[in-house]
Amino acid sequence: MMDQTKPRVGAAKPSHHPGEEVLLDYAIGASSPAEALVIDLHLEFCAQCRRTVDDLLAVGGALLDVMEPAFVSPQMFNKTLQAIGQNAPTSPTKPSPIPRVPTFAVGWPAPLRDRVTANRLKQWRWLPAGFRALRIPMSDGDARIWVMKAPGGRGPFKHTHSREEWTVVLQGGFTDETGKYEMGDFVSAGRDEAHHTVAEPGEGCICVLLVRAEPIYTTLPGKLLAPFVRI
Amino acid sequence: MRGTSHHVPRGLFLGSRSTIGADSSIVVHVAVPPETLPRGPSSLEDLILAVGARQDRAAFGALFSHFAPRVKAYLARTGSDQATADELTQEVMLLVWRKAERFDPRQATASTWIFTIARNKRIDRFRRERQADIDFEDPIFIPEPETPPDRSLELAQQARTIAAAVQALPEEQAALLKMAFYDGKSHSVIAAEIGLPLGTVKSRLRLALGRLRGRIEPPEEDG
Repeated sequence: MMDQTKPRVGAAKPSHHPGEEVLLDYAIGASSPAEALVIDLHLEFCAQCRRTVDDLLAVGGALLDVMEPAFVSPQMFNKTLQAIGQNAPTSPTKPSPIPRVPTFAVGWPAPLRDRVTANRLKQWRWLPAGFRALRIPMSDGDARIWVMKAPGGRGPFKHTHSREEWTVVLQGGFTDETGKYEMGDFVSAGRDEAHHTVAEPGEGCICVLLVRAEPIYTTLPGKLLAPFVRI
Repeated sequence: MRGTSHHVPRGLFLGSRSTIGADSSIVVHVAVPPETLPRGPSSLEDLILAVGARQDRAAFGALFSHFAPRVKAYLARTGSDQATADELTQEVMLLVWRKAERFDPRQATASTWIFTIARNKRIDRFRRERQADIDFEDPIFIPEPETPPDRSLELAQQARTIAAAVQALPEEQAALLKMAFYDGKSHSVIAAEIGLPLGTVKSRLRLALGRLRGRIEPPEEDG
């Protein structure tokens, strides 16, 4: 199935990656659903991390081979053959277009597009200062996934987090005290690290955020506006 | 539609190209009628290709004998009860049959491909219990659009490296590796369960994975 709306992810060459332990948790299926979505998005852009995950899955394959086999009753083989004889379930339909949600210039990365379509999301939420946000519903404890659009040269007010926050840049980029982040980059902001992010002038920035706690604004304007920009 | 965390192998590089009959430890628990056994040794990869190309039931029987007991053992260890492990194993083997056509031995060995299917199936089931609205597809089976390089020889070599390294791992590293891959436990869960600092778990797992990839890393300070 060819993907019509695939972003030009080949053009991206991310330089900021998740740690190997994050990728190992992902490869063995131990990431939470929200974490897995954010890592999926980074992998869309990052050949290097895809290779690492493939490598880890191959370790899984080798370990599967040396696993002590369990007893499987002979009936299971016959039942499987019977199931083969029956009609295969209807194959999934091709990806449906996303109506009414403005798409990115590069198109929606597949893992997000599927979420947006599945949840029939229609509207960006407007925030002050030209920001827009789209909440992606997840049932994953207190984890929340947001897609944020920041206009060029702007950024959220300086803030900190009581929990770790993950970001993947989908388009454009931003800078903060720690450096410059571009398309495909994975950024993990540790707890209690205050940061002041500014979207790339001109193009601005679209990124996906995994947040686990309300940001704590550290300057007066941020504190005043916090009730209105609650994410 | 695609669900999260269904990894799409786009260039799997390790894995095993094992040969049926070459491994005396293979225990066949499933009675496969003799006429359905493959003639002569064939690699597991060849068996999947035979299923994909001509719906070869004999080849499928041989695959089933090798993999179903291992997939079930994996699913049982990762938290499924007996009945669920049986049911999921059957679903995994059914997917092996249905998706065999898309298997590409240049990108993954049979074991890696089937491990990935089982992993995805486990995630799928686990999530569905909490989140009924997501319909998972299996993008693992979607091949790369461009022609990938043929890495099957490299894969075979890498598989031998892993198999040898697994046997030689220090017990403390092997135990952590099994908690991760067999039990599907995250670093933080492992650390909490065995009462070691998270940093120690991270460095031991990193050392173990380094050895499996034929990479000798200098030992690091725990913690």
